[in-house]
Amino acid sequence: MKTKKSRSKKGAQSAARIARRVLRARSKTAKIPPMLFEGDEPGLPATGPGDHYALVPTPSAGPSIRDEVRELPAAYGTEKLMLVARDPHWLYAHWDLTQDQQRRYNALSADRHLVVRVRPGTIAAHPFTEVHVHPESRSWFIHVEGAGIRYGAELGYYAANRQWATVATSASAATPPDTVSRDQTQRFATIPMEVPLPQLSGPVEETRVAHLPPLDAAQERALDEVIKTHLRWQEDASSAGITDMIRGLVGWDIDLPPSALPLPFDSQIESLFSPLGGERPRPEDFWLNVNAELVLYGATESDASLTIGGWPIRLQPDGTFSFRFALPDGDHEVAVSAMSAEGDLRQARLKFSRRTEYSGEVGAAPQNSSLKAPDAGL
Amino acid sequence: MPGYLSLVLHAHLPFVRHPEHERFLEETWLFEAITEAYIPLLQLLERWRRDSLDTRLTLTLTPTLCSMLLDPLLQARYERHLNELIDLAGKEIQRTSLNQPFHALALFYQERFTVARDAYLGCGRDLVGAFRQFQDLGQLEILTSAATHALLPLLADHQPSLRAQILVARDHYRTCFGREPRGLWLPECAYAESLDGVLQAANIRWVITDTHGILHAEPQPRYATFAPLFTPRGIAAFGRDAESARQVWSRHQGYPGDPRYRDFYRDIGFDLDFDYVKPYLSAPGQRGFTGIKYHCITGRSADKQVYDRPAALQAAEEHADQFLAARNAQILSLAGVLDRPPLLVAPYDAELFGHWWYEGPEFLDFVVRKACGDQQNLTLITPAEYLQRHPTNQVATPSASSWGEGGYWRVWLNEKNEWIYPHLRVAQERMTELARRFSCGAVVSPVGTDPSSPRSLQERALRQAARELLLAQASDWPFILRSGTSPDYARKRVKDHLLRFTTLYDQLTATRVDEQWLGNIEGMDNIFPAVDYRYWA
Repeated sequence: MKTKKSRSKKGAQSAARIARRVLRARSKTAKIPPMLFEGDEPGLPATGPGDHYALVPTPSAGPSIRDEVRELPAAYGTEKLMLVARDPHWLYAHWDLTQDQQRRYNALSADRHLVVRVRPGTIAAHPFTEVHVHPESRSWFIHVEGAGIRYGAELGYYAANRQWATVATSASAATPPDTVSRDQTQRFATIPMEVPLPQLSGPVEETRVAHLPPLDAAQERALDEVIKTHLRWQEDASSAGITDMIRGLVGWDIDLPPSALPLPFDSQIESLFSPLGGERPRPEDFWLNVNAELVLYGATESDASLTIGGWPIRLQPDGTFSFRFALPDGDHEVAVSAMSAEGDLRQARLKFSRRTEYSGEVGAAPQNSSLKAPDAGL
Repeated sequence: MPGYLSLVLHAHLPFVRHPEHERFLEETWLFEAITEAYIPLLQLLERWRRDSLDTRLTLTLTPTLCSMLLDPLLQARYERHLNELIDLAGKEIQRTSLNQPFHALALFYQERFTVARDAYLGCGRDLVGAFRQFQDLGQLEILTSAATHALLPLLADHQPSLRAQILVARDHYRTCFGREPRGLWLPECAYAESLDGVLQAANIRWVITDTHGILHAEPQPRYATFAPLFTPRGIAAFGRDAESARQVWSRHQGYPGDPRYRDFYRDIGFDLDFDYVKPYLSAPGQRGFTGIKYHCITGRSADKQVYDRPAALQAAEEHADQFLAARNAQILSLAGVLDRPPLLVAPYDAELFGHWWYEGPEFLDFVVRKACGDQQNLTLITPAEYLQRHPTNQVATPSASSWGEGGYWRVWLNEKNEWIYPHLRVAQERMTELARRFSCGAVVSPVGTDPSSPRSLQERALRQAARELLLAQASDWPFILRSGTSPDYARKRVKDHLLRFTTLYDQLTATRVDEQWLGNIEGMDNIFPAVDYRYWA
């Protein structure tokens, strides 16, 4: 029978084992896992919204105001932890530590780096996710499971005795929901335009309207159509920009000057992509939506050139990379190749297989439509 | 009357003004938008007015755009730009004199540019005033937006900053348009619940969110996006209609990609001899766009046919017919099932019509005229008018959302631009510190002086600190950094404004204000002359 003591000791040992395995897996020099970014790597051509700012490089002018030669400080040293919910499944954490402050904490840490704990709800809540961050990082993008959930974060480290020490605690941040609400109550209010809003103290008063019957089947269907249009639109749209469309799908071999396109501010094309959540939940039916993604990540020499599936991928300044794929059912193979500046080649061919067996009706959780399967070609 | 269509145009450019250079490339964003989008829009409004059409268009003119349109330096530079264009068109007429159909097109361009110049001078170079007249006539509803188009949810946890972005915009709107703004265009349609309190306090009556902002509202919306919601604080939130947007913007089927339309890229700035076009280029020594283009999209290959204007106008009319037929069909099918007339809200960037899509204004003209001519199923309406007709609406909280890629804040907060926010955080708190510290002693203006003019060097510095912070908060910079076009310019802008702010903060709290240096940056970053720094307190 496992005693409480032995279980907790085992737990601590296993956490340490996992941490060490994670560290070893990255590189020979035991680098901390690189930041996993939302698919910001160019899976699609780098034109698009914001082309309207694309112009020939600005002729550089000498600084006419003396402060222009200064740089912004790397940090302010407030030791505050900022937490922002960026979208339904990503948080952004930033900690304001100077280099000295960071070195000091790293030195106190048994792992030689800091750790961010993220938990839904209050600071005392369990369970939490732990993210081990790079010793020089001051920020991290953190993936979380729960959309429409309020999260809190803590920055800290494990001291030599595996005791947790807190450096900073963040205010909470709520991820937006990514589905239609299950709450179908309906409240109405009457607010004439002539009444200034500040005169309303507090939330609007409910208007007693004649009870509106629940939508009938035809109405439900019509509204479902709207949602389906969106999901179709989501597939049709892409984050490629207006430039593609206006070019009339011109071939890419046209010799156009790079970034030479003065276009007006146009966020419109991005607006094509309006991701929706799952289907409207029918109150009587239980439901489950599921999906899978694949994240490839690693590191190489920072001056090497890297391809994934034959497509060149930009490395981070420290030589790390990550790339997300959709992972539908089937067998998938993807080659990762790195070539050094001198021409040495290293390659890895990763093979994956997904097979899903369903019991009952299971939907596909919506997925960022710019993700492609590993062998679909980028 | 089965249903409504609300056409909303959003005109915005970031504040770009560089008096320290004789010419500055990024200023041409403004000049091109004026020539190809804003003046044509004014001309449409004038023709609709003349023809007594009840058009009900909604238009955002952001505070930074209005500031540039009213700035004398930029007005003069625009006039110079137009004169050069007319000059260039004159040379083109000569160059193509034996070469039809290019010659006809060169004549066409010269006429267009001359008409634009007449229109510009005719309204006293005051395009803001020109749009204002149409609002005063009841033909147009003009919205404001955040002061420097900041992505509001990302600064909402510092409520004073949120308040400042909204109230500075409201003040500026009052000055430009002589009335209170009723609607506010949320930059990037980015909404979060944390905006509600400030919107209510500013008496902003309505905003637009992206479709999923309404569909994911809490509780569920009864009418999907076909009716607005009231947030718990009474602001009406209208959801963008998916279908209307898709028809224009779909990558595969969108109208602007039609082969008959003018090709954006075949500009003489790239096609003709360098020395010939050199005097007319915006960036010395580098090819760029002039606005004179002779080819139509034609198809996928590089082989472009000559632009056939009548055929292009024909395409615009066909697309207008299709667009309206689809809206009618949508309304009819929805009206049959919903227990109130459905509303379709169709917002677009104003610059789409004319700059990106050269025939866009003509398309709009056809749509509006045909819609006015056939009022059976579909009525054009502004969101404010809808609220007047339908003051009873469902109460729900829209979900945090934007119309940016991904549907939330990814475009503005990612590996390429996240470095900005920690600096903004500190600057925002410092601005609040300044505002509180220097607001304590109430300064009474002496009798007879203009209450909006600063009474001291200190107040000038405080106002300038507010301006620098506002300019640093613009969502345009992280957007550009993300999209990778002109990133150096965007990076420099953020850096310059933050450094200037920090310098002012240091001078106000630790050392003393350097009047000469202050005068320099006041002359450059001269947006919002009467900015009230106490909004940050």
